[in-house]
Amino acid sequence: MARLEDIPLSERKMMEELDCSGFDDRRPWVTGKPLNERRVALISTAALNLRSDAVFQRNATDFRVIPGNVDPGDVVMSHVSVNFDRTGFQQDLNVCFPLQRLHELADEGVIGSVSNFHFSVSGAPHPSDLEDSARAIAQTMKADAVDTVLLVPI
Amino acid sequence: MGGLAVIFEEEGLATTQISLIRIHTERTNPPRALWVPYELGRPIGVPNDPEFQKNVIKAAFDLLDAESGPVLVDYPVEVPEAAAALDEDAMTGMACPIDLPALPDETAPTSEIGKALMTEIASLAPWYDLAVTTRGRTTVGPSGLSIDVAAKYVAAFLDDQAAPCPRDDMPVARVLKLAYEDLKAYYGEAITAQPGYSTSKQVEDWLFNETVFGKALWRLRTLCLENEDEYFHYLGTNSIVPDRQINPPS
Repeated sequence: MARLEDIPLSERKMMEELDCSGFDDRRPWVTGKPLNERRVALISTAALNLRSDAVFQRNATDFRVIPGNVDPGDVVMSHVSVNFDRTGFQQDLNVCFPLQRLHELADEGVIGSVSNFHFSVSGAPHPSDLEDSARAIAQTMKADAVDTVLLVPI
Repeated sequence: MGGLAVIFEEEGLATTQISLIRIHTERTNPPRALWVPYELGRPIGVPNDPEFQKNVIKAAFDLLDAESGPVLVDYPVEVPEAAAALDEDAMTGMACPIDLPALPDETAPTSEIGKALMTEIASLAPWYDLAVTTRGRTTVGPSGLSIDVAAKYVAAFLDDQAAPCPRDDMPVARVLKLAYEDLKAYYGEAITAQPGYSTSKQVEDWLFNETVFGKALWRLRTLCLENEDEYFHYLGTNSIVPDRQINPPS
């Protein structure tokens, strides 16, 4: 379904024309430990927030913290777009924010451990506008000894 | 998403990501990305299928073994047919097993839509309650309003765009948006508690074409498009009715 040909023409045109500039000549590459020694954090662009948090506003470039031990019932979504499915999220948080799966992979020894903190931003703004938030998130991740990030779009 | 990966990697964190829109990933050059053939909103593929989900995540982690990049790999596993469920033909003649109120016609006064909306919400309550019990959670709530207050506000707005807003801590248009999105979540959770509504398209077609709330949303879209306020106009253009309902594939 995320194949472009399956997306309505008007939305497809918007996606084809979306400005993704600013990353053409940036090729960072970090090597790391074996997977079963890595500490992993999750970030989603689904504009997820805790019930106790402020919702994301239109064009928001800030972020929300999702604790590693969060009750899935405390996680809600305030993304502005209506052009993606929310019924999967309504049935199972893991279909877009697979925190429970990460904990299981840690229990199984596939990954080393799961961070105490995970994050969400709204994917609506240009990615360059999220740069300050991303760098602040990175500092928090490193303070929690995270070395690997799994990024999940919506 | 790819841009964020680049920034994290510049900060010294190794990244791997799911990609849904392949051309965006190609343009932002994240170090490692796994393109998946799943619909927007379901990047890990299938709700309530832990093994399927773990396999997707493991495939994304496998990219961390690459010695150089950028790496963009296509994940070949489609959503199983049973999960993709009924196609359009199989849905023909299917009816929601709820006694929904009759849809007010195009010329009905909005007060009639408001009344029918409250009746419809009440008729869905047993299914919504079942969904919450079964799943142990609800996604209704970002508006901070009860579902009845959210519905009454949407109905009142249809009647009078200067109707008192139940929150004063954010723009009225944002409150309106959160209110109708909570209602959409309520309807979505209720209908997916029933058999036969497993794809987003089935739920969406039902909501926008067979419910009073759907009728209210179409009317709301028209009102917002006619509104001179930029935020309301934006809602009408982009943020009430999905594109595939406005411009269905021919």
